[in-house]
Amino acid sequence: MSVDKVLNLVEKILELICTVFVGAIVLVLFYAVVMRYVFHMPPAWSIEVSRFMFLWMVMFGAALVTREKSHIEIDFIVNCIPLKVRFLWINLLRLVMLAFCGVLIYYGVKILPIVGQANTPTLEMSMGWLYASVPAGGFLMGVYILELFIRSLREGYRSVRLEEGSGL
Amino acid sequence: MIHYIVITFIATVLLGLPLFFGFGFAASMACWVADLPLEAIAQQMMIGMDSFALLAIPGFILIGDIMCQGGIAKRAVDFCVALIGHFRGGLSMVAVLAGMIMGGISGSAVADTAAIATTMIAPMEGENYPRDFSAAVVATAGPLGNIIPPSIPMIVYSMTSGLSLLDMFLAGYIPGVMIGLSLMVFCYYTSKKHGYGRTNARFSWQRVVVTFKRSFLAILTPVVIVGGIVSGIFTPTEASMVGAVYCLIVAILVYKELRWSDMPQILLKSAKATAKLVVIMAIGSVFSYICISEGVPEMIKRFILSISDNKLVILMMLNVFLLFLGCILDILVATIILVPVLVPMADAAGINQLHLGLLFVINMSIGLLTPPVGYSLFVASTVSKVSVEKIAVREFPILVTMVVILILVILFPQITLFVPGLIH
Repeated sequence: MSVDKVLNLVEKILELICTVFVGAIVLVLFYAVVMRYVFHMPPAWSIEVSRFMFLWMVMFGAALVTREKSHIEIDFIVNCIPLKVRFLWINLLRLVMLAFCGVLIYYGVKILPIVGQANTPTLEMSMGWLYASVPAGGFLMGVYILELFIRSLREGYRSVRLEEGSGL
Repeated sequence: MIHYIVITFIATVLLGLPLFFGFGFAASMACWVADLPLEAIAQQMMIGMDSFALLAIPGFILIGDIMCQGGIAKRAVDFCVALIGHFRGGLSMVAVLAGMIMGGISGSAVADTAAIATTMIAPMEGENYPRDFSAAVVATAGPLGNIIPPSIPMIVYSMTSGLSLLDMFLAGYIPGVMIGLSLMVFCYYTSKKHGYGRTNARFSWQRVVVTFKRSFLAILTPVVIVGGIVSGIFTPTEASMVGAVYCLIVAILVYKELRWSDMPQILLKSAKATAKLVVIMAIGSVFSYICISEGVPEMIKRFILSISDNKLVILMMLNVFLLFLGCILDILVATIILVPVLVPMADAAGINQLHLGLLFVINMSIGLLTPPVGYSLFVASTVSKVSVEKIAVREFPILVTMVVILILVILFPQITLFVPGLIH
């Protein structure tokens, strides 16, 4: 299987997880309200489960957003830079972004053994499961930034023209 | 130290690094230079995200998307047309009124603007409104949506400042309605003066009753959401989820404008929109952690108090500064950078925190209508296909109207504090 296909497959899986998690958060919390008011039996697990899904949904969602280059950015100055300079600039910024993904992965993994000793109050799940979302998200974002970086270098500066804004 | 953060931030953000990475890069550099542990970045990010209150964001975004696609916006507009469409300039007033109602349903300014722009611009064109004027009017749905609860900027502000979200929501009603009504007056006079929007429509009670029946369930949404929070039945997060389920049932089972098969795509869209916002909040909490450990709030506090210790002077200066920032910064970014500084400053100057919070939201919402960074303006421009510059010129009297209301709110804190005071 080529790299492209793997990356597309990963994207599909992430999309599926995000879709299911958002839907599940809504249902779980709605269920919790109903249980509390109608049956007077609030489920203790609802908050922790929804927090867990929320964190992973955010980090996976951020990876998807990275691939489609739609992170929130302020691009009115970049839009004024001439094309060739913009191409160099964007790819330079991509390297900076990669470096930050590196920070997220390295230090995110480094704190796992320490924070993992604590447990969540009701489900007694290791906090590590929550904290792992940061390096995991950093890794996925890094992969997609690398993909965009290589593709952009291959296609040359002409690829920039097609995009609105800096297209990061 | 503060210079360092500011410079890195400007260099990256203004030069186009996405905000999440811009903040992250600046934070890494700052930690490195100041010998703070870099582990703090991963940990603070987690602390910034892992909050039950933040879960309200996907809920309110979902409500906005369901409302747009599920015919809820359209029905609210129909009701407004029946109510005030027969006046001279009626449709432009409908655009504002519908924006107010929509602001009361969804929490997202961009979704509100998109909903109003897509439903209103074509009919306004039919009644001889110039396109740039229509676009300028529909763009106000964004600021109105931010000021009238539920509102995502308020959720973010209350998260970062520790203010009660319920109080902020309630404080938004009077300023929001004041701005809405004054904009309607503005629309009426402008239309009368330039002869826009002549209409043969007659007012009929029958039509009002029919459209009210059709849109009743949609208009009930704010009552379910805010009523539920005020009466203590749910937390804001739960209210957003109950609201989402309610809108879903109304759109799919009652209005039948949405199918179950549309849902995966709507959910995914909401997930991505949530991720975009929340990663920035996460990295923003790293930013405020660094600021606080470097003693930045204390420095700013001393600086402001060295200029003046008159409350009103400080408030006025602050508002000019915020209005300016609102033009060049995204509301979310401004909240994350400024709130750690503003809160101790307000304490020092004796300004009520809730009043300040509302002023902040109003200032930043006005910025939604101004270039270079005004999302409502951009959405209105995309939908109406009129250039941003042309709309921005038309926006000017609208901005003046809003600033007048803003000054009233500054001078009379009761405008914001009255409603929250009622429930305490």
